[in-house]
Amino acid sequence: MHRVAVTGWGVVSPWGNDPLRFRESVFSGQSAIRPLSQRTDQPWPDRTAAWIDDFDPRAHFSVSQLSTLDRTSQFAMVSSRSALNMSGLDINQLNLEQCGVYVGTGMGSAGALETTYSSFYGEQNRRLKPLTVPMVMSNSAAAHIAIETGFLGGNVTFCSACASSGIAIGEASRKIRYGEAKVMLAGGAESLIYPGVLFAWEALRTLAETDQADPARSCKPFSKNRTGMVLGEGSAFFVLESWEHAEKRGANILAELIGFSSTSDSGHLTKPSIAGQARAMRAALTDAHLNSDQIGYINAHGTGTQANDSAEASAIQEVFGVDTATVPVSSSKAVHGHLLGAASAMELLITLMALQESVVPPTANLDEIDPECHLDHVMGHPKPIHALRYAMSNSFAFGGTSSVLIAKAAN
Amino acid sequence: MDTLDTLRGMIADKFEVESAQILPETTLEALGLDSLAVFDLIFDIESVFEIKVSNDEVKIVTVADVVSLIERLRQEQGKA
Repeated sequence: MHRVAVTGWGVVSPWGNDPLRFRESVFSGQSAIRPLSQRTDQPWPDRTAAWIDDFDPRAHFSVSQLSTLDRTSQFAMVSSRSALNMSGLDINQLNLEQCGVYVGTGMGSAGALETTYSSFYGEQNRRLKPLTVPMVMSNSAAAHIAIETGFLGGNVTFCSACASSGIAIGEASRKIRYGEAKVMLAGGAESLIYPGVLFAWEALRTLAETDQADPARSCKPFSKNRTGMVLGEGSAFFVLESWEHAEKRGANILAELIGFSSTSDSGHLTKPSIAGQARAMRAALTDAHLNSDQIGYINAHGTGTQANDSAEASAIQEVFGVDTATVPVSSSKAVHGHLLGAASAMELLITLMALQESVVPPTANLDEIDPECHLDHVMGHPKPIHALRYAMSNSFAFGGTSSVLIAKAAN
Repeated sequence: MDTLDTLRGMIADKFEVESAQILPETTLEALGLDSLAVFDLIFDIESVFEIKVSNDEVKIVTVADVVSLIERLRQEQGKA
């Protein structure tokens, strides 16, 4: 078994693509959530979302490249390039057969699909663009990254709703652990802020009501007055590398991935299962050879829906003991929203940043804790944790797929 | 503007190549167009030149081949 080092990361977020600025925004509780009424281009439900305004595709891609790149793939390519760049890896020095690309996405190329259907059904257009299929296919992002890097050791897309990128990263880490790969580019991307998608989520009665006093505070995980989730978009990617490979080339090791679980509730399509979530956390602890009392921070799934947050709090209590006051917990979705297939990747990034600095981010907008969500919540400000060594990041998806990642500080 | 000039402008804009590089004898491959890019170009050609290109006519290698195809189809389809 090989140890798994994280040697690079990249992000595309509403605060831009600079990881430092991303960190500063999330840890200071600066919200990227805004009312959709700010956008008058299309019909939108009267809700909020965390979308990206200033992403310029032409700054990253040629016109002809863009003919096959949906926004989701664009995000994935930009953040994976940043991760690779940060790692300092020289592709020319790699055995490409030992390098792979694993990507998680929930709705894939939702934007291209919606544009195509809108043209076909709405405008009765029967001349669809010739590159519609390669652009819309859900594994498009992984394929593009593999082509650009030349990595030959697998290009796989994981589609498991809100756990997609957690599973992509976890499976990539296993590939390194088992010695099948030396380097993996793994992460997630999602772009789903489109009217058809938003109205569908609205119909499921999951979207948060707009906080009239301050729309930026509409997502309130674990709060007594939470009303639902807020959708977001973006991407995060990691370079995972076998420990010896990273050490040998003198890489800057940012963190270590030591535990992963992927389990199934096999109960209900959308209702969270306390037993299922607890099982996933226990399985990840077993995989990491840790006891629950060794975890110093949990980045919760914490969507802000009634059902998720109380179930997750109960599951954490079940695994960590009723007196959970010893494990700080927070959900960063309050500021970046729910990125579905990219959520696990973005939240793992936040978890690794917490490990790096021994400081954990707060759950923004958490003024009054729901008594049913009794946990050691990080509120108001980032919290320094003395010698933070191990942290857990939870992802619990519709469809009953659970994924839990455990990371260890590099030093 | 004649067919070659129009086509040259379309290729230059869409694939970001210098117009001066787009000569009749230049192959589409040399301009960096793969099979998917050719399908994409034909889609635009159909719109701009108001013609329909059937699947068995997509056998074009050089820029001159594309020009002849366009001019022949415009003639045959009554657009010339």
